[in-house]
Amino acid sequence: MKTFIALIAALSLSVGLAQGGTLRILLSSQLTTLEPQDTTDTDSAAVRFQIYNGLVRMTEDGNVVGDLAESWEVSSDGTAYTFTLHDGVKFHDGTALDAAAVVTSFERLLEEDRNTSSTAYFQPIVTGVEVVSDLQVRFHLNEPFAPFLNTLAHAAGHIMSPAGIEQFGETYGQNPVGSGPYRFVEWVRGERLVLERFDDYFAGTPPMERIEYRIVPEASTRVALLETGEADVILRVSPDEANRLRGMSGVELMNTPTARAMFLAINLTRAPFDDVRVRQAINHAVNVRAITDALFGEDVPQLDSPLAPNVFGYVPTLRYDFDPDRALELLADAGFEPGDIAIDLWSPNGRYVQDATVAQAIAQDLDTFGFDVNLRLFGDFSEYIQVAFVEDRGDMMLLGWSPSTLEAEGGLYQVLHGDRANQFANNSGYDNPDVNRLIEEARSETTEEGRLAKYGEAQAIIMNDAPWLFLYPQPVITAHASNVSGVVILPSEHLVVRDTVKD
Amino acid sequence: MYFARRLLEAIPVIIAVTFIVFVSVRLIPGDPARVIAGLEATDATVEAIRADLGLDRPVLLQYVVFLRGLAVGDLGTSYYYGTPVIEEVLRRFPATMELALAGLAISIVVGIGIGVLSAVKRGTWWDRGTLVFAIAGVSMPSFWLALMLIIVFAVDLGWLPAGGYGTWRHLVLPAVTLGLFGAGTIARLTRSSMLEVLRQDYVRTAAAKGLPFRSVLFKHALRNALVPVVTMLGLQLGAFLSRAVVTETVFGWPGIARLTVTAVLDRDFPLIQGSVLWLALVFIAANLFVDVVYAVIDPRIRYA
Repeated sequence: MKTFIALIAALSLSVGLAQGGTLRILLSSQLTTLEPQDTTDTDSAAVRFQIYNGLVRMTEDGNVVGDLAESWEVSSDGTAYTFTLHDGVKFHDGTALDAAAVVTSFERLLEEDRNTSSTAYFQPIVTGVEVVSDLQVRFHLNEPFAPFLNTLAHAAGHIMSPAGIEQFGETYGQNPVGSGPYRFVEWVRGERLVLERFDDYFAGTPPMERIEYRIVPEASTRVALLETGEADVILRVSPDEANRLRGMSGVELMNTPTARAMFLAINLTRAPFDDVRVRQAINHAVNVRAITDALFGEDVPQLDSPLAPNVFGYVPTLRYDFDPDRALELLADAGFEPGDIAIDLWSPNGRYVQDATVAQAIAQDLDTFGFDVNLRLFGDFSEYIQVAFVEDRGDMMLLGWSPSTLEAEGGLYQVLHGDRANQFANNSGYDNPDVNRLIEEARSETTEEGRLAKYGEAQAIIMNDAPWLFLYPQPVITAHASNVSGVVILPSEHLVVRDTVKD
Repeated sequence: MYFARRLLEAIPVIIAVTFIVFVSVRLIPGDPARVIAGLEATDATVEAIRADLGLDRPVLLQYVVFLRGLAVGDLGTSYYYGTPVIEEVLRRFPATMELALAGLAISIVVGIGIGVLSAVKRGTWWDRGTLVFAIAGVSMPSFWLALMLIIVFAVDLGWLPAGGYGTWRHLVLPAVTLGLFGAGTIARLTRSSMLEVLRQDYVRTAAAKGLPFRSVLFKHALRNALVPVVTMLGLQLGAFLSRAVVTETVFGWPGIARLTVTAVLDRDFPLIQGSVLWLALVFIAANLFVDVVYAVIDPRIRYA
């Protein structure tokens, strides 16, 4: 009998393997929780895109389209949004996803005493959510907020099953119940997480049988596992490894520009960096183009705005070309020689793609120009943010900013509005009343043209004021086996495999 | 009696460890509330989170709360994962134990084996070869060794998986990475210890009595030569754990060493405290175990 069972088990195992229905993905960092309303790490959020649906979702090109919502209407004053849901949507626990479920999910997010990273997106703007009919739900805002749809597309807007919340309570994050194409099966912490096809998915049968995420922190090991066929998709390939993989048969590379603008915040609270000419001179003294060409290839542009090109509201305005003569002129105007100026330049090491290498190259350019540069690298990002934002800011601090909502409000307000000056995350201390006003006015512009006009004007002023040394949008490299297609990396750096197929 | 005393002696050590860890994690720059909230959060949100975590209270009071929890076996809740610390620690410990024991086994078998051989064949090419091996084993960075093993045995030859966890095949490369490091040290120590013992009168006597060489070597000499080796094994556990961090990271091994390091980077105070406390307990237990082993290999060692 035992032999018989073992034989059956072996047979079913080999059948399972033969079907090849499992997509194996390697992540680089630990997953924290699968509860939508309390996630700060990119990889946990990326896993959730398979388990949950939002009312709307973001596409690869940064557009907002319907997900659970079939259609929506905005009231003429811009403060009420009414969504009509798809009919017959079910959660993985079999309960119906209707207007009441959406309300339950959002009311949980809006509870006053909830302090998570995600509440900040909704609490200040949403005053209420109500059921209009079985399949209609309405959001009320305290004032017109044009980026609202983008905000809803944020991973915090994923709809949770009310029955699941009831059942699992505090442990919901380890037992997620959504309505997405793949349902949660198993999570062995620190090792792997398994999802399985949800047969009752409202938008058609999902292509894969299973999705298996594994955590492999070391980039070279991820590459080795792809080479040996032990993985199908790997995240965060370093440019060096990418060069090695290029042209290897059976492997395909994806180079995705993200919404993360890379820059060095210049500390405006310290002389001589309070002088705009000094800051412009710094921008002309660094050969950003040469650095990006050497590290990332020619496809990665130099920033000509504080926003990355795929962020809504981006308007190209001014680009600082490498021009040491112009830099010298500007400095002379301000009454300085390069040798008069010492710069404390700080950068994290290992947080962003090639961050330390970039910081070193920049320090070298500034040094060649004649500044007295003191470079300090921080291997520990928690320490870095404490030091670079709170305790002891340097003169220039490397940072990457990705607006989670992929539009200009998120890309400008927190890093460049005067409200946030000298605290998180505006550590250059930039505070220009004209820019502040334009960012605020853009929120209540109801037309796309109107918003773009305001944001464009703000960006032109910011570029001229040069509170940053503007660098480039961070590129991320993903690799997958050639028999895999339909891998999507959102501009928000999330890996989405809802429609990924493996032959 | 002896062990009861040793156990009692361990208690102040443990309390000192918890205190040092408790205070030092709070001294390094980095604010857990900010790490949890993210850069986007306003200062008000961060303050609220800090209050939720109890971090707004005086450090000594926090420590008292921690000790009170500890007394009833409650190590608190991980800031980052939202799960009980004891659960995370117990879940991740077996994988590290598995790796450490396999690594240790390789260290002992390879290390003692070549140590004895090079003592017996002293001054030959074999002896010189093992010296090179030992130095290489100790000085090769585990990171580099691990990647070389992956490239050769997983990518080029395709014999073993390049990373991951699950079967014995997944265990081989990480265990070898860890084991070769220990083997080098053990080989050198076994060799010098053996050479000393082989010069002793009782060994010459045993040989003069006409006992077979094999019996002289293993029964009389090796047993005595192992005492310093065993001492070192207990003390080396710390070095093993620090190497395990790198090994677990490179191979994607879901162990506690990596858990602890990521907890430090995330400023997950309860998790750091819990896992360091656990590792300290393991270290103490291992050294107690070494004391038992002494008594077995050298019956003259008795504890009053």
